[in-house]
Amino acid sequence: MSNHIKQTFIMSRANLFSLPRRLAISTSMVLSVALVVAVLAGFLAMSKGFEQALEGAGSSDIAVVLGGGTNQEMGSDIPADAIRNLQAMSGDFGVTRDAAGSLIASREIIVTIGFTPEADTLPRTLALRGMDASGPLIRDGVTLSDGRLFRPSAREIVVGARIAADFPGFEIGETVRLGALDWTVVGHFASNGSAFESEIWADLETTRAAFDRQGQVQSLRLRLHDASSLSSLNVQLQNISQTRLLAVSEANLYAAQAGRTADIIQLFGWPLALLMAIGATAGALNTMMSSVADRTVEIATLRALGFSRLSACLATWFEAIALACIGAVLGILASWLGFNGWQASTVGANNASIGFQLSVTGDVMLNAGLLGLAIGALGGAIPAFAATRLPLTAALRASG
Amino acid sequence: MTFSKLARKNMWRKPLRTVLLIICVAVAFLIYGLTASFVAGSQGSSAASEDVLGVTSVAGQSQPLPIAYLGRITSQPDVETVGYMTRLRGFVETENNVVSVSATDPARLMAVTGPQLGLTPVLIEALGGARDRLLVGRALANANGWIVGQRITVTSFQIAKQDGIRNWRFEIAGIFEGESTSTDTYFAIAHYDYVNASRALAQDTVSAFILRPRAGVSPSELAVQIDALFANSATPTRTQSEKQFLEAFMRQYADVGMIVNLVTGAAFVTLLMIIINTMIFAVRERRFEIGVLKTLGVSRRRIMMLVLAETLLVFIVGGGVGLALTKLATVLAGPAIGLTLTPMIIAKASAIIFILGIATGALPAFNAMRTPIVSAFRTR
Repeated sequence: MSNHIKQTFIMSRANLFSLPRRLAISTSMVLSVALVVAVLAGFLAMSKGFEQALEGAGSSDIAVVLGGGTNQEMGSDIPADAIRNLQAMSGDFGVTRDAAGSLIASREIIVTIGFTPEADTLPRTLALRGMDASGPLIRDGVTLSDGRLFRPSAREIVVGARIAADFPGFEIGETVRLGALDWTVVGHFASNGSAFESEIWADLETTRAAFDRQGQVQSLRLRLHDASSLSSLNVQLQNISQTRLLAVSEANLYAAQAGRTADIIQLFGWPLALLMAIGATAGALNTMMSSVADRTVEIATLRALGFSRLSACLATWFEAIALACIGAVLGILASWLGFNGWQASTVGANNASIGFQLSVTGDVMLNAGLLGLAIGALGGAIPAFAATRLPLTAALRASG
Repeated sequence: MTFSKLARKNMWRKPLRTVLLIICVAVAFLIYGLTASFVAGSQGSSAASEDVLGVTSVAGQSQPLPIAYLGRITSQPDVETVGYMTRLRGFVETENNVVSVSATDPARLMAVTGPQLGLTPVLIEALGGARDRLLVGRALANANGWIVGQRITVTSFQIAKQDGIRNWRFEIAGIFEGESTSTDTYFAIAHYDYVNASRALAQDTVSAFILRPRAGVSPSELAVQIDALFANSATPTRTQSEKQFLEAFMRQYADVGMIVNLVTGAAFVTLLMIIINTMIFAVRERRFEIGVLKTLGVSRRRIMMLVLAETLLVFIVGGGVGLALTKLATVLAGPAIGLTLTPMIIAKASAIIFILGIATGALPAFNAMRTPIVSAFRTR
């Protein structure tokens, strides 16, 4: 056995030293593997980045009450009497109260508005969220990075960091036309790159008045004692209104939204990457068959000297895997340098644009790298087998 | 032995290698075909008209426009016909089953986009029977298994009735087919009067006006005229063609065009490298034969043609297989994904097949042409 290992080692080394003779075709295999790996890593990084943006937005200590049998904010509607009943309720049902004993709650609506950053550019859809003054407090991880919060009943907006960075005209003190009216930007907020940063916040009453949504409440945000209080809140919600009300944790609300889009991105990425991988495998097969053809005399000579079939096979296979490894590393490196942190945006659950950044994480690299290795392993297998089947005498006679 | 027979024999000298090259080419053109079909299908650009203009609020599609604008738009001399609609988005039965209902004046819609949607006078008459009737697009009807005469309830996301309930009941009066398979028919058409009369908020407003310019009038100039009419009003408008609108809409999801170009670019670069290298190898391998051919007096040009013909053949067979697979995929995928293999895509792909076939063959062919007879024989 140790003899086999030694022989394989010697042949592999001779193999790798002869690579410069086949530099062009070996490079093409390395690059083709690298490209496949980079394409897959790009799609996976997109899906990952989107998930991270939405997962960062949710906290499990915050409950979002939705009405009308829906589990998304879009399409939810909570009647005013339900909110009054809930606020009138005494006793502890898992929701924190302020010093005066009233619930810490924020009534919210979302308005989607078309916004044209500059003349002759494409309009983007932004989400304007009208909320009570307690709204920004019932969000974990949100910090006011600049300026101040909106005042009640004033047409003032606080803008998420992503929007402030992406679109001109959202500097503090500037006025922006949203819908039919002008609004003044009074602050910027940040939340570690989460989906909140793609929102604009304003006072609830002002927003209702500006967009003809009088009396409407889409969601009610409440701060829970802890994550386990959600069920007692849900029990309480059964009895306060004829409309079906449902409390979900903020974390679940956003994770569910993330899941769908992230799945769609992967649904595009994997088939494309696999198709490319088939092409690259065909290319790898060709490269390795050329390699075997190129080394015919060497292989035949070593075999005539008593080297085993196994060592001829393994040495060829190792060459394929070594080339695929280089390709995979190159591809991962390129995708990390090229894609990591790339700002992208898409349309989220409320039909408004959500910004996120591509994130090339460990498991993205692992998945993409393994696909690259598989190309080498598969593409090298048949030529490796062919190397064991060389007719020695014919091979030695072929050239001299 | 004739020239073409020699090329064919050369091609099958190493069958596995040729088959692998053909697979490479087929995969590259399959990727190209699929991505291009997806772009064509999703933008509906084959069906989206540049002649039909849509007028929406500058504050976004979801913001309403007063129906009173109708008169002013109609009175524009360059406008032929105008229709209007309010979009009622909602779901049927389960929340993921999103349905878009366009509440409109059927006769006006018929005049503006009737032929494109495949609306017939019979369908319009069926719709006219009662206020709560609905025409459903073929794709939407098939997806839900709906039949004519069925009653459905659409739970709207936004538009509530005066009693606060957001359930809208409709009776399906007919199914419209669309002009071609690439027409988007994943929506339904209802009466504007029915929705407008019962809704709680935003009465007498519409989501959009759609209009057809008079023959010979430039749509883009008319769009500017209409926007100028309302520029100083409380709700300014944005007028654009259906095609522009869809492109802008898709671009918000992702810059699809850019991703497609990157991916197909990557696929083609990979493929070209593999094929050029393999062909250089293949030609080097048969230097001896080329030397023989030259000794026999075959001209340098013919030898170059021989190698070129071989690569071209690989590309034509591979590209043909790739496009055939694309066609198969578009048929299998069904209308929901909306892959559309247009003649334009096929023409473009064919052009690329020829150009790449000649480009990749050029270097090996040139090498073959330049091989001196003496050195060709020395290899043996």
